[in-house]
Amino acid sequence: MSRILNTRLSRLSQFGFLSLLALFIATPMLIIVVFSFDANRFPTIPWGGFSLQWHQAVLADSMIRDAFVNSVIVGLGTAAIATVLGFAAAYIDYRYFFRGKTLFGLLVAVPPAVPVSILSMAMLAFLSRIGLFGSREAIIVCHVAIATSFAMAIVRLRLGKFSRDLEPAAWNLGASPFATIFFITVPFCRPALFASFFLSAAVSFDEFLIAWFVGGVNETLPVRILNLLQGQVNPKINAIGTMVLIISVALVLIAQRFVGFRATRATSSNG
Amino acid sequence: MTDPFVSLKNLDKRFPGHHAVKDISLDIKGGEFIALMGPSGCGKSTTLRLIAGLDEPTGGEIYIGGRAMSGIPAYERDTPMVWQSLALFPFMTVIENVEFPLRMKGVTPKVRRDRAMEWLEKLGLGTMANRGIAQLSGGQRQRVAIARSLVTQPSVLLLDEPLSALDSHLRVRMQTELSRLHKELGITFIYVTHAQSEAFALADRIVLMSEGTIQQTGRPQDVYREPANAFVADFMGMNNIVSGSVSRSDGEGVVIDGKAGQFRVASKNAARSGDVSFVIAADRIQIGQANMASANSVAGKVIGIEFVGSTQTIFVEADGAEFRVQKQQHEIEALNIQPGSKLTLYWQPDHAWLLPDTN
Repeated sequence: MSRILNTRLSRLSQFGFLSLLALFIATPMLIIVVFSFDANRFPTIPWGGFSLQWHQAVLADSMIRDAFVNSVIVGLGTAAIATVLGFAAAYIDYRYFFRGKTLFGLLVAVPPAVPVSILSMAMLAFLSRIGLFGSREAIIVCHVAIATSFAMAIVRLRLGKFSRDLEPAAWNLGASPFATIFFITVPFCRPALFASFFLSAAVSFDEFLIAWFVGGVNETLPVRILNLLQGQVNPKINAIGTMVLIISVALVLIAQRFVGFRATRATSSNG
Repeated sequence: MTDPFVSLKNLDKRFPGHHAVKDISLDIKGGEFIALMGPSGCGKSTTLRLIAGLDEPTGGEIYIGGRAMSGIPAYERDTPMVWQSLALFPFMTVIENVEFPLRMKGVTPKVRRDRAMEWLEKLGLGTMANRGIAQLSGGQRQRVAIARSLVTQPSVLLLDEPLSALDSHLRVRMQTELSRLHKELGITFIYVTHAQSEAFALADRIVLMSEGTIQQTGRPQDVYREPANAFVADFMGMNNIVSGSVSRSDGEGVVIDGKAGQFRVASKNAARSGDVSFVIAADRIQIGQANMASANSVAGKVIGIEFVGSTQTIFVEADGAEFRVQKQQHEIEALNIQPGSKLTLYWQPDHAWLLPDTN
């Protein structure tokens, strides 16, 4: 009897604790979302009534629109390149054994671990020397360096479930090594590739510091937000924040869906 | 076909720190069902992978249909293989798996669909064509793997322990199926296995390997009755190996002085002298009463009885040597043999086999 009670209490307290934690993380974001629809100019209580005026103002602001377009281009570019490079790195790690493989893995994995401010300054110094500074391409290059680590991790996880017999089996059935990668390896990794794509896009879309350092006049959305904040407290901030939040969360949720969904199916088909 | 269809000439394969295949030569006739067998690590699977071109030999040459294979990559060889793991493509349906080799050869979608379907029906999978691999049973997957290997109508099929993942009931059914396919198609099957029962049930000829070399090649019954050396005799399982020295030899064979007595072996091999070993199969030993005097007999004591279905194996200790005797269960019951029983074992001189290259 008391054991059942204990279990229940334990469950309840676990649930309560986790809810509090989630609430603590979510509340600031929720406040932004709520006040983005507030008619008041400054976020104050009581609420000034429902209004879409700040959202409309955001859409009307050409600088914000440009920043959004930049973010989308940089995000898609980063996602595409990082996914291809991540696959290549993961495949090399899966397929080959060579001297310095540990070092290779470390080099691919290390960029997200370097403090972003240091990374940004280093990239700024490097890119201005090769004349790439201040362009959208510069931001893409830098975002790729970070996102590739995530892409590789996701694809490598998937390749861990790729039986070592499958590629030789394809060769054995008349597929050249190139055709094998195209018809067997890539399709096997497809869910992970989608996940990498969306996660890389999310990483790029959210990234501020590097974009601010190397982008020059090409502002991405996070950079625009900071510049807005530095000027005056502008109620449009809440509206942009809401939009960015929705896009980022959507990207991560899509990415997660590909990883999680396929992981369970793959285990059942391996038996 | 009288010429060998698959021919291995002084084939050699070294991996770093491991000499997997040591200078083996073997001729396989067209249409032959040959089994490469031996304990794990004996080089049988490596030999198969060398034939398929999945590994490069470090020496020697492979000829298939008279053509030297060195420098020809796996995907340009016509040597499909059935894998131990089956290696079916998990993200493809059954029919897509079977179509794959045709697709790689550039066969048009319509034709390859029809041919794949034909093979699926031949193997009783006609209704499964659009299923996912995960939805099939072990036996069905096995059939898909076989269909996928045969759909290009190769002249040689390689099989790497294809039945080891199946339960024993299914294994026997698949053996029958493979045997039927081999007769129907008339192509060369090269079958790697560690299971003596599979090799004996299926193969025209077996090649017994150990530590990268061929120990013996021959028809299953010949290898079983007339092993070339102690390793083969031992691998065949139910053989007793007796050592001794030749005391005399005449036209009918040799007489050997062993620890447990004097034995006559009707030797078909050349006259021998010195230290030799002979084998006597467990099922060829007769059981008599204790103290029964007979030529070729040993007196001993039963130290154990092992039940193996309809037959039983009796372990008999005689003068420090252990003999294994295999008998039908009802015979054992009739003789009332218990652990501790004293009895005499005897056999006919022409049932013993003198190992050709003892020591």
